[in-house]
Amino acid sequence: MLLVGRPNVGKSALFGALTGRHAHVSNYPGTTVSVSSGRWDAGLGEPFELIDTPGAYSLLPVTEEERVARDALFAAPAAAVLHVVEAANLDRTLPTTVEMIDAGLRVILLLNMWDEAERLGIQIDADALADRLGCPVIKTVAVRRKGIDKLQLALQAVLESEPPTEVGRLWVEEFGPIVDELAERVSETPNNGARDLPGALPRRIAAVLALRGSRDITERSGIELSLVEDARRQVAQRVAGMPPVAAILALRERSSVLLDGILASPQSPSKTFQHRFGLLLAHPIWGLPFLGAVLYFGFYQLVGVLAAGELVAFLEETVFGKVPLPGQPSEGWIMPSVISGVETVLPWDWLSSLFVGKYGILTLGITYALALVLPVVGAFFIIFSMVEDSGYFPRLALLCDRLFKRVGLNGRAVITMVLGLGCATMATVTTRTLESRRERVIATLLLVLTIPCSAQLGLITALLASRDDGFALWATYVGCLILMFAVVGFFAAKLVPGRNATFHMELVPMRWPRIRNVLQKTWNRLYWYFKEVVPLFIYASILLWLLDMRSSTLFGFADVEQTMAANTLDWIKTLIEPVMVLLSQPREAAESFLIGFFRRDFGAVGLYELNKAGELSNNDALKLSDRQMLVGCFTMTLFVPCVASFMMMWKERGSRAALAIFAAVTVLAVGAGATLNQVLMAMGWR
Amino acid sequence: MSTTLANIRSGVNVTVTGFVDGDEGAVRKILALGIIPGDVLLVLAVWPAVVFEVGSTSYALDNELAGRILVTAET
Repeated sequence: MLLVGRPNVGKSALFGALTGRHAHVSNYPGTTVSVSSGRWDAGLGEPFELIDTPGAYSLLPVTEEERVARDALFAAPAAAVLHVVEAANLDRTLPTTVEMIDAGLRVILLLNMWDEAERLGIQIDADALADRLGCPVIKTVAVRRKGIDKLQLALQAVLESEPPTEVGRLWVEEFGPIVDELAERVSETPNNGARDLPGALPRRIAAVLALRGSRDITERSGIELSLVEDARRQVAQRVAGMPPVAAILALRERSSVLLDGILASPQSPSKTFQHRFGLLLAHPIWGLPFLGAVLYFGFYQLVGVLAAGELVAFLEETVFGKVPLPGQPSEGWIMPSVISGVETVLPWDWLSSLFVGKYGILTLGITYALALVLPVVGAFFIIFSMVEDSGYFPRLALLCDRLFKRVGLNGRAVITMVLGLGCATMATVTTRTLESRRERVIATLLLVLTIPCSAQLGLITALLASRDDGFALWATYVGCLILMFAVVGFFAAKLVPGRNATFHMELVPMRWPRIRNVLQKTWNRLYWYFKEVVPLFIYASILLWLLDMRSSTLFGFADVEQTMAANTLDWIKTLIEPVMVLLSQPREAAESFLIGFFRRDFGAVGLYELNKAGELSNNDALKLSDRQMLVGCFTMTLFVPCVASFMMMWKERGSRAALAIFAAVTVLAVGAGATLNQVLMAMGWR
Repeated sequence: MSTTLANIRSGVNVTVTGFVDGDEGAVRKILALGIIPGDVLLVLAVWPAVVFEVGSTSYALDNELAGRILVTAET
């Protein structure tokens, strides 16, 4: 059983209501980028497998996610297809319902967000519509679980009904006998070399989609291109116009006949306050103060200063406590007893240090994850989810479209980039919503190079904000990143082949964020994040522990120490010291950069600790200057993505692109960091 | 008088009459949003992109796409 419909009509909310699983619900089109499935017990014996598909406007896909939705629809014969539409928008979406019924799918039409349609004064006679369409029509409010009981009854009726007899009749009437001539050319057996169409896609419908200009169906159907072109010309003559236009007109015509006398909507379109406010936010001048306010209060003050500064300090120093230096009393609530506990159970230093040493799994890995990263990422996701739920992002996309075109992207990529501020790994997945390979490659490069992830940004913000002139330092840091984004994007747009994709976007209505949605989304994201992150923190601790182990312990003979550095970690530090010198970083910072390989945020934590150690120490040489701090933070941000995001890049972009991006990022990061260092020195920064 | 959506001032009602021949991919993208000949659009903004309302929904299209939509302005 499948859930289909346009973006942002509440498919995912319905999915959640039916299966109890939490699909992502938001006020931004395109949040479901892949197919997710769950089990729905409709009280009809065995539970159904319910598949949630990405939002799609039509069976003729424009983006990759729409193709995913269309393929899912015809992958296997479905027991029923739940077509979710926005009730207030029925006249514009009914053509798709007509199209799916004609394609032989057993459709149940759900008029969702019924409450909003009522508020707008729209009246729909659902029973009469059901009679005319020959499929059940149900009014629902998915977020409030209204109408679900009726859906269960309707489903039973659909399952007991006869399967449709003739598929694609509408198209034979519109396009003529050419449809069947072409359908015969569609290879009979799936996967016989030529044909790899979805298994349950009827041949006639495949032919129609090819006629309407679907390139991927044409290629996958095994029909020769010249035949399709010929047939398209014949159709164009018959309908006197472009086949895709004629097709939509025909569907619209039929659905308006169906709706005649059934749908009553008030005359004037609503020009509400929300609407005007929404437009103001996308205004090239009036929109900027709002953007600035969101960035300053939401991200700088709340995520940076409050969460990453105050909350982290409290959690780390008071709640967790640190590993005490020899001879000093333990501090904090949790760690002192954990440390003494582990040391009692494991009385061997070399082993207990795996858990509670300088690089211990508990003292480093878990503490960093819970005390430093969790508060920051949590705060970011709360703010992000609120902004997302309000419907602001489409306005931001519109506002940034022209700027983004300069870097080879368009406004649609804005959301991917902002999500990248949360987690680059997560954002890399959403590059699928971009149209062309060119855009996906550029977006991935800019993501991993110039966009700091929330934990990293939060800690860096706290780090810079804690110094005198903190805000100015932070603004310089952000400015450098934006400059980097612009410069690299500009050249990437020139170098990556292809042309810019055009920008189109539905502007969903602005609304107050709903607390339930915000909490739900924050929870989903945090859950995903920690499933990915905590294991990596633990691996990183183990690796550092291994590297830090004295060579004598590691290799079992003592004379190694005379020929090699004291331990492997020291040896690596020496190896990358020239790079550190280039960036004016202290030798110890090498460790942070090394850790940065595992998690960018983890690396930022290293810098954070380094700065604190310097401040606490009486030795001025250990104190980091503003210049060192800025260059360190900047380079760290640009530097290689974390392991998880590299793996995701490999999966999404392929090995060649992933390695190329990795190499480019490493060179660009060190180059840009060194350049910034020189510029600041020339400007007389200490 | 027929022109394209890219040339309309904000606050004007227009009727879609057809599409500029040529780039069928662009036309399909517009069709996919459900905008077809006969639709009445109210233009709400023209910068940084063309924003219009059709039915209860608002869309934004860049100039390239808007320039593919033939419209007549209502007086």
